[in-house]
Amino acid sequence: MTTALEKFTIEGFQALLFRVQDILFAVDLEHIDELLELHQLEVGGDRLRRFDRLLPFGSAPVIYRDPRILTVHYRGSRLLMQIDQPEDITFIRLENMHPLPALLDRVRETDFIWGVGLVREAPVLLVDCLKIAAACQQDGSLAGNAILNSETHAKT
Amino acid sequence: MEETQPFKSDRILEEIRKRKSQDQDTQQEEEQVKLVVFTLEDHYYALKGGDVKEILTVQKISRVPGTPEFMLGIINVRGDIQSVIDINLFMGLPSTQTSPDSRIVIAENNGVRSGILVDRVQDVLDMPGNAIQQPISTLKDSIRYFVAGEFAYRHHNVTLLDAGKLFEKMTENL
Repeated sequence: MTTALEKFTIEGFQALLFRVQDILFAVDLEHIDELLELHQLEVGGDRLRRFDRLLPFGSAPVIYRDPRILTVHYRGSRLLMQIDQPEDITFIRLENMHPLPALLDRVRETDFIWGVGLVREAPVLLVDCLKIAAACQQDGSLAGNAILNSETHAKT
Repeated sequence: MEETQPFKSDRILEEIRKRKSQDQDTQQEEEQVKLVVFTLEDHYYALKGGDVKEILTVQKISRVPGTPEFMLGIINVRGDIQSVIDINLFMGLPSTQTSPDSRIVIAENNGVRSGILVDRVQDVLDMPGNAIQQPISTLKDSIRYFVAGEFAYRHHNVTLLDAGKLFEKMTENL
């Protein structure tokens, strides 16, 4: 007997595309609770995690041009991640996703980037927000609830 | 006095040996190695032709955070994603600057494939295997590991790189 779960196949996912330091990233929209502007964050700014601190960008300073905050719920905590320049929401099909090239896979320092998608033929780095949230929870830097003043109206 | 005639079997053996020796000479002459010669800064390097899959013009390389400096990033090669490395940076030299002559040499060995950014591809040639010498002893151990040999090309000394060992060393250093 085939169960509903067995019938379920992943065709791809709806992704939020954003750019940090001219590098294009994509996160699974299913993992995102809110996309906020900086002013909507009232307290707990110390808990805000800059994307370039989570994924080492090297020694050059990263300048945010149009910063936004992604909130990700993970096991009762909330990750507040500062990203830059949200660009688009698009469906990335499975056939347009690739694992990281073997050599790069062996030398990378984190597993937050898990693959590469192709969107209009341009490579997009696929980022796992839940892995980031899990790592942050482990080092105790996830925010508790009720730190956003705009929690209710941000969702509206 | 009657001249002693060699036995027929001796003559046959002699003929066999002679022919074998000629065959060996011919084989040695024919043992050619295909090489792709390129430059990085002023230095000449080569990779074995069998390890080189294709040579591309330089396109936009998308950087990947959280990787060593020598890992320049990724490119889209007809729907496939390939990494691109800078050998100079890996060897602790200044980074390779791109110009209209720059190329990305896609090399593969032991199932690992990556692009290598080079200043210019000088030549693709067939070289007699015996023209390739052992690498010079003054090379640093860290570099010597992935140097397969050296040879002369148009008054230049060319360092032949072993793509497999180069990739291996890059992952080993971490």
